[in-house]
Amino acid sequence: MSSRPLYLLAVMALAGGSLLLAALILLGELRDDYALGGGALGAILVAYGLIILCLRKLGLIGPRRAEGK
Amino acid sequence: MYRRALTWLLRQTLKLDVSINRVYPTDWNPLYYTGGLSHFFLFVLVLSGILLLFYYVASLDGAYASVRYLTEQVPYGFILRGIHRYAADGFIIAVLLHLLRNWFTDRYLFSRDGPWISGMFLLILGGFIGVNGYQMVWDQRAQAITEIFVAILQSIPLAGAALVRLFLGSEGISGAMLPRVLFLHVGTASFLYMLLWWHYVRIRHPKIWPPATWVLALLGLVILLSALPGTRPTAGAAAQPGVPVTSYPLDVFFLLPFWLVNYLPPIVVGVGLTVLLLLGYVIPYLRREEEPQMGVRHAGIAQVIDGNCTGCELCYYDCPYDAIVMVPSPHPGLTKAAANRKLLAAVMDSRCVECGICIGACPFEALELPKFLEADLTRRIAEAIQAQPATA
Repeated sequence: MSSRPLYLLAVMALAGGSLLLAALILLGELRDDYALGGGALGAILVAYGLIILCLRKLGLIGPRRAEGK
Repeated sequence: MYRRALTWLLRQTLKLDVSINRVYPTDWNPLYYTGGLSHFFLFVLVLSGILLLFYYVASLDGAYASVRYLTEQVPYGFILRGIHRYAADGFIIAVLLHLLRNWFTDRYLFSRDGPWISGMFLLILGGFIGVNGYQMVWDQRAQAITEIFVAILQSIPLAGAALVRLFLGSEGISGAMLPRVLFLHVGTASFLYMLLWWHYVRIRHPKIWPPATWVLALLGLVILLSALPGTRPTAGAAAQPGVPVTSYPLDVFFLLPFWLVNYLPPIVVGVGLTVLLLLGYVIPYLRREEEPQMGVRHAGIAQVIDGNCTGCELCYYDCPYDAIVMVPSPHPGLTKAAANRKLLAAVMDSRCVECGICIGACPFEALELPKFLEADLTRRIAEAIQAQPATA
């Protein structure tokens, strides 16, 4: 069974989560809650890293596109 | 025994590679980028360190207050401190993984002994800078490790007292100490980049930067750890020289030797560390008994045979280590082909890895490896062919 749908689902979930984290960064700024803003910033970078990994596993980016197929 | 253990470790390392390659694309396997990850963490350390420097006051009265001000009053100040601290932990982890991986995969033998030796210096200085970093905060932990460090220095025969005075700037802890610690922290960190040049100079295409997925994920992790309540850096109690420190939080990556002092005399810890480091330095030479190919361990730096060189530049283009430069020829060559040359090949000793590629590139026999002459090689090949049993 292809793992492609799983990676697509992961990308969508991570992208949705990133939107939420972006909102938390703004909220942290508004409330001067630097731990919230900073934590959300760290988490969003982790999410971006995982999104890139999933895109690579899907074969959409990177030098070996065939690897994702 | 040693060789058997290394063979077993090599097999386990390769098995681990295969397992990780199932999860990550092969060119994103983090174990292939342990050096690049170390470099990435070093870069983060330098950037965050420069920002921290704007707030730091290097005096006994001001150091703790400035760190506390940064942590508690400056927006995102505690995150900046956390980034510096966790990137330092990441640096040590990545460096140790890099060391073990290169050890287990034999990437320290022959011409790679230079990167190994420079890498050992990088590890030692990295650890030293980390300890300095903890001293700079000048809280109770800084006081405790300074006292232990001074005790270790003092235990050195003959030079101990002078070294202590050099480090403290006076007989005891005084205002002269923290500027010295600051200099040791920043100056030594700058020196790391000079050592990195030595580390990279003989390596073809070193992977000095990890893939984007790792850069983003690790930077994010470092920031996340800095922000979470349980792992967020805090300012402990201020140092009080003269008042003994009974306990302090321990960082296993940098402060392990200081923990050992609880159980062993400082001189034993100092000697133990020195022996461990010396063993690290001799690792590339422990396997000297192993007979390398054609009975030659070091073939010697490639030598240009002046009279034969025609200045054709073939060796210059073929050398993968950029170890050959073409210089204006001061006089004509001796052979007919070299009589009208304008250029002459010259070998840069510091870059030559003694691989012999230039010998193969030169059609005029104008290059030689002094301990591995082409004539000897040809003779040995002829002997080996003759020794083969005749086949039908």
